[in-house]
Amino acid sequence: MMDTRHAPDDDWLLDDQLGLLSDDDRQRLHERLRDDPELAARHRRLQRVLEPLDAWTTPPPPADLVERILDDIADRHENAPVVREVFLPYGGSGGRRLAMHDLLAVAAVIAFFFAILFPSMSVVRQRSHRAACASNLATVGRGVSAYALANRDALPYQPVGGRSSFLPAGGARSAHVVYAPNSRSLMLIARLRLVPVRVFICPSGKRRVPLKYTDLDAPGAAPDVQLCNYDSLNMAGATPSYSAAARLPYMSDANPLFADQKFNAVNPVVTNSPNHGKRGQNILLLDGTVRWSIDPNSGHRNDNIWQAGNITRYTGTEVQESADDTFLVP
Amino acid sequence: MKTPTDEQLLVDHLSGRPDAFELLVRRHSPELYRFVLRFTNNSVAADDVLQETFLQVHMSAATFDAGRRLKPWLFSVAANKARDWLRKRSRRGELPLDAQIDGDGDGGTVTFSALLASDAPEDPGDLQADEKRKLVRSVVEQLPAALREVLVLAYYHKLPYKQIAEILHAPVGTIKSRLHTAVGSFGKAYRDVLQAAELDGGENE
Repeated sequence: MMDTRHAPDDDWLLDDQLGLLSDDDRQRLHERLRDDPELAARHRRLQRVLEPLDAWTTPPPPADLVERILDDIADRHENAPVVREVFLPYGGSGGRRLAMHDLLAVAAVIAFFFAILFPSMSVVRQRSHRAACASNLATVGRGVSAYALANRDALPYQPVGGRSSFLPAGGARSAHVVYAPNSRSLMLIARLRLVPVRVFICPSGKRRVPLKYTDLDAPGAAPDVQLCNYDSLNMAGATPSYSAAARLPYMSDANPLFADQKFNAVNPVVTNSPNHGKRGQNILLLDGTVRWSIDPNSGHRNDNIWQAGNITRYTGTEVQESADDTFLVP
Repeated sequence: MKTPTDEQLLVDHLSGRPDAFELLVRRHSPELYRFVLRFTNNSVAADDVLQETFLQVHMSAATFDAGRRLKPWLFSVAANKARDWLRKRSRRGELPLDAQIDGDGDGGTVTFSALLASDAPEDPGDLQADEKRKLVRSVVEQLPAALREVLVLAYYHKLPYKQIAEILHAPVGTIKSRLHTAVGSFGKAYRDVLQAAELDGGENE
């Protein structure tokens, strides 16, 4: 912006012409004008500069301008979107800012609906996860069936060095035992591409990252148990043939005794899998059916599916009491 | 009965008093019309701009800070609308916007002090009122918008610097400086126009 240098008295002279001086200042200026001819000359010149401006008169506004303005406002207000009316709570033609109590009211309404909808949304989500989990187990069931068909009714089995155990997860380990995750056998069907690796991840489980096929393909690969949140029949114990024990539980959501890679001192008789918030577990039977159970005593003759017999301390070498004793381990 | 202030009328309008906004329109439309007319130099534009101004004020009334004065806000909205109109017009190529005054003929701007130190323009006595009005109008119209608006607000509307600063969103010091420049530029341009007219008249005789 252009700047103009001006003498100190110029402000005073201009303010006088614009009528901006107070009565006292105007009186002081006019006293000085009487005593200072040079200042008086400048004053007259400024008057002559500004005087022509008075010639530029303007006509008054059209007589109907106010009415047209008000009509225009009324028209536009009537045609305004309805949403604007929401912000005109007093019924006036102008809006107003949202006050704190308005915001609190809106927040309360949102909280109210959230409180109503959240539990139902949560239930829907749980059901969805449960169904997806059951689908995983059903897929595994088909994979096991295909494996058995091709391997003379045998269940998938991958011992390490000809021997096997399950991971006791925190229990005392023996130097004479070769420990390997039981899921290594289960994942044989993924290694053979009978099922995709993603089916070993329960949507409600804590672990969400599936295995990679390359982890399974390496010779002697021992899959990380963290990448599977299902447990399966202990293959170090008595292993029935596929068709001999059609109603035997073969796989389920994670065993609460060995969840989170540690031994958990929970009562296996009443404790459900942690995968679905301990509300129950999906169980795959060897005949391929999947059922939701809210009771861990769901094995053959109501056998408990988490423990071998009545054993309470585990070293990894414990096995089923009999061929129909279900013992699902990591 | 005590006349309600502008600010009180706006509060009344927001509270639902039906005639409060109409009173505001009636109170301020003449002055705002003159301001916009001098700013745009077009009566149709002044009409439109004023309608747009009050519509905007009506729609934004709730956002107005009740602790401030209403009049500078009205002028501020009107000035913005008038600038919009001038911008649209310049896009259409009707007239150049903000033509710079070539004060000294070499692109500089005459200073206020220099103007007062020299001979101020002397109006020829025989200039008809209508001719003089047109002449002044054309000279003011050629001032840059920033100078024109401050000159109009200060001289014709007698608004104090503080309110002008509020309207134009600029510091008071800048407003004073612009006003001095505007007066200096007007004086120089008006004198040049008169001298050119005299020369034309002389040659024609």
